[in-house]
Parts: sequence; structure tokens; C-alpha cells
Amino acid sequence: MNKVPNLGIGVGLRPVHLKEIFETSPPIDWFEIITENFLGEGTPARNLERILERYPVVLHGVSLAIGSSAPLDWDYLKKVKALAQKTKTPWVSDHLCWGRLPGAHFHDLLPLPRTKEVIEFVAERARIVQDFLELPFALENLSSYTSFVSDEMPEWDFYTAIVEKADISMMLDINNIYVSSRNLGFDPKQYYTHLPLERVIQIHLAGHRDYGAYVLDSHDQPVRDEVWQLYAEIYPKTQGVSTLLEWDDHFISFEETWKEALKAKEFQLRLAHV
Amino acid sequence: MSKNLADLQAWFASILTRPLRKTGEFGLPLYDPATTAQIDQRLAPGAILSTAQGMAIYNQQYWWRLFITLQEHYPTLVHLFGFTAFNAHIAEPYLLQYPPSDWSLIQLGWELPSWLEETYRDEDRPLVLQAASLDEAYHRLFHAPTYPSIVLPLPPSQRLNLQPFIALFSLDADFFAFRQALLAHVPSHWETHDFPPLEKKTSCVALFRGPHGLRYEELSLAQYHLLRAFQTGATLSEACALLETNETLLQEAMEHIGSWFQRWAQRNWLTYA
Repeated sequence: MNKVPNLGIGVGLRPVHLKEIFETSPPIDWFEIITENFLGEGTPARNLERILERYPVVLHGVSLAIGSSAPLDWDYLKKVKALAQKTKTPWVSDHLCWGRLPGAHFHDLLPLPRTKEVIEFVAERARIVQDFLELPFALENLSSYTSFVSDEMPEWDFYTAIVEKADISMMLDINNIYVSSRNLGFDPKQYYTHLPLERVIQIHLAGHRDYGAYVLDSHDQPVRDEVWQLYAEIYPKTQGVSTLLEWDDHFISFEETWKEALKAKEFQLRLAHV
Repeated sequence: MSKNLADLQAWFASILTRPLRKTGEFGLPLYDPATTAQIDQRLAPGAILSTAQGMAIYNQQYWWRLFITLQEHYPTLVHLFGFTAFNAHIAEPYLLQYPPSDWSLIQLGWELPSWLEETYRDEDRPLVLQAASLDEAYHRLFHAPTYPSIVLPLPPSQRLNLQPFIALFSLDADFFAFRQALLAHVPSHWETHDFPPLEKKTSCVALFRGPHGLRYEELSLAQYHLLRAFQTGATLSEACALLETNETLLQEAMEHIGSWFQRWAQRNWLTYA
């Protein structure tokens, strides 16, 4: 496996926090950026240059749509590669999903049928993407609200087969494991115990909304205790990887967001002393 | 890839993007019985939710994401119409005609001003079209690139362009002040208050991106005509020739053109064509 650095505890960079970050220069370990927000020019590009002067930045994409039946979008990938070179990101991640068709883009992380045929298809494309980017490439597990009648295996086997066949890394979203487990009805422990956790290079944490009948991956709340519990169980098994908090709506100040992310450090220190 | 996956994804997309008018259990959008039967054939039920309810979450998220993107792109329109009417009467019909086709959401609302031009017929049409035009300009300039600045002095034969982070407007009312006053409150404020006054006033305005964000300032008519000429790649001589039909403008330009160019160069407003 590719060795990547453990960057520590980071937060997803969001425009609403830029003013506060520029004014206070918080000593945060690193930022993750949504790749697509910085593939253009103008103000976002200038803001990114200011961030890069002070902080390590990692690229996390939402539009690759690796499992789409449409061909890979090479114009998009070339832009991602150029941004990766500019930012010196140590790895690039996106999602194990689909989200576009020829001439149409749905801007959503849509679930894939979990079949052997799809494993072959996605693994080959993931290998091509990693080779093209010349950087470790990681796929993230989704929050799911449905699954297919044609599924041939549970998600953990599907996810494992793809990353192993493609020889890529895992970006493990622990909140997504929890959200999917509630919506689809499986035990989250069963999920992570079946994963090759040595392939995990980054962990995502986020808040969700619990509506009782279903759980929505809303990224607008503090991380729930159930997800921290899973983090406490999973993190030591990864041998220590970069951890990042995503917060995308109903924003709080950057200082408060960062404080929420730093709870991960408390868990890490607590575990180190066990 | 196999036809199976392509067919499944095409089907999923058709269900995902369908506008749903009714709400069912758990506050989720409701599919009609025929579509629900189709969904039952392809999707598996969740722990509690039915197949159609699981699908409805994706449908809801799809529309919300696009509505929010357009709301952020067109804040003046949102303030004029309110969120609900904006979504129902502008965003949804627009998106049905111009669904997202690119990996970037920046472009999602680019066609909205021309779509309104074609479709919007209510009596407030001039205000709505102008609001859309201003919102579109603010959005475009925020994302516009910066090209190398000119270095003075310039030969008269040098072709120039206006930087893409500048937009020029010739207005018959003070829409910029109106927009600013409108956006000073949340959209719901205007459901119970009169809109701010829209003062009649003929003016030329440059909206531009400076070091501290987007700003606007008034231009004299001569400045406006010169900058408009540079927007289409004119030479200095050609731009000045445009003013020769109007003695007053020509006189003003002759007196001030040196200082204008100094200022435009300092602000990096001009680039080589």
C-alpha cells in the first residue's frame, strides 16, 4: 500500500469560515477542500492560494462518479490533476457511487448495485484514475437510503473487493457507516470488522439528523455519540490516520467547528493511554 | 460497461429527477402508485422505509441541492419572490428545461436570465429581468479569471480587452442601490413590507471584483463607451473614434483619458486582447 502521512485532525474548508480563518490563522493541522469548488478561477482560487501559504490541503471530490456507466470525464480529471499538483495534496479521494449519465449530472452520490460485474467495472476505472493522478486515490463509502434487488453481497464485501482489486485506498466515513446501518438495517460493527482497515488513509466524521424512521447524512450537527463510539473502535485498528470533520449546513463559527473536530484528538489520546 | 448498469442508472435518473408535488408519510415526497410499483421491482426496502420512501430521500435531496444552488446564484430574485415562489415558479421550471449537465454547479444558473427573457411575462418583467442580470453578473465576476494587466504607455494600435471580472451596465433606475437595500433583510421580511424605493436615474455603472470583493461605481458616459469598446477588443484609436460623434464626450475624454488609463491600469481593469 502507498504510505501517506497522518496529517492529524482537520476540518473541511468552507467559504463561510474563510474570513475567520484569515483573521485568526488557527493552528489547525490541515484542511480538506471540495475539489470541484477550486477547479475554476476567480475568488475561490485566490482564497485557496492564501490557505496554501499556511496549511496542508487535501482534495476530496464529489463529481467523479466512478461507477457511472458514462465514460470517465478526462477534461475533469485533467483539472483535478492540475489542482493536485498545485496544492501538493498527499492523496485524492472521491466517492464509491455514480451520479451522471452522458449529458446529465445529478450532483448526488447515488448508490451502486453491489454485483461482481460492477466490482470489475469500478475497480478498473479506479485503477486508471489512480494511475493518471499519480497519487494515492481513495474511495469513500456512502450514506445510503436504499439498495437494489439485484445486490449480490453486503456493502462491506463490495467496498473491500473494489479497493483490493484496484489496489487503492479507503476513505472511511464513519458517520456514513452509522447512517447506512440505521437506514438499511445492519450492524455497523459487522461492517467495519469485514473491511481491510490497513487500506484506510483518512477518516471522515460528521453529524446527522435522526428522524426516527430514517437518518439523514446532513452534516449540520455535532457528531453523535454513536458515531464517536464507532470512531473509538475503528481508529486504533487503522494504526492512526488523518481524521476530518465535515460540516456543510447550519454553520457554526470556525472556532466551534474546530473544537468539535478536536474531540477526535481526545479520543485518540484516551486510546493511547489504555 | 454492460447494458444492465446503463439501463438501471437511466431508470434511476428518471425517477430521481421527477418533480413530486405531494408529501407522504415522514414528510417525504410521494411517488404515484405506478411509479412505486416500478421502484418495488428494482429497489429493496430499508429497515423501516419502503422502497419508494428510500428513493424519495434521493429525490428530495436532488431538488433541494439544485434549488439552494440557484437561490445562492440569484439572491435578488429570491428576495423579490420569496423562497417558495422562487422554487416553484422559477427554479423548478428552469431546471426542467436546463437540468445540470456539467460536473460544476457554477454553471447551473447561467441560462436563467435568457430563460426569463423568453418566458417571464408578468407586469414586473423589467424589474425581474434586471434583477436576474445583476445577480448573474455578481456570480460570474466572483468566479472570473484575471488576465495579465496592461503596462503603460500603450501604442494607439494596441488591441485591449476588459478584464472578465468587470461588467458594465447602462441603467434607467438605481438598481444597485435597490438590490443592496433588498438584500439587507432576509427574504421573509419583504412578505410584510414594501420593497425599497427604486429611484429613476439614468446612469452607467461598472461592477468589478477588487481586492476586497465585488464593488460597483458609476462611470461617466465617455468612460462607459470607451470601456464597452475595449470589451469587444478595440484599439485605443478605435475606441476614441467612437466618441467623435459626440462633441461633449470627445471633449471629456480628451481632458481625462490619461488619468482614466492610469486608474484602470492601477486597478488592472484592462488586459491585452
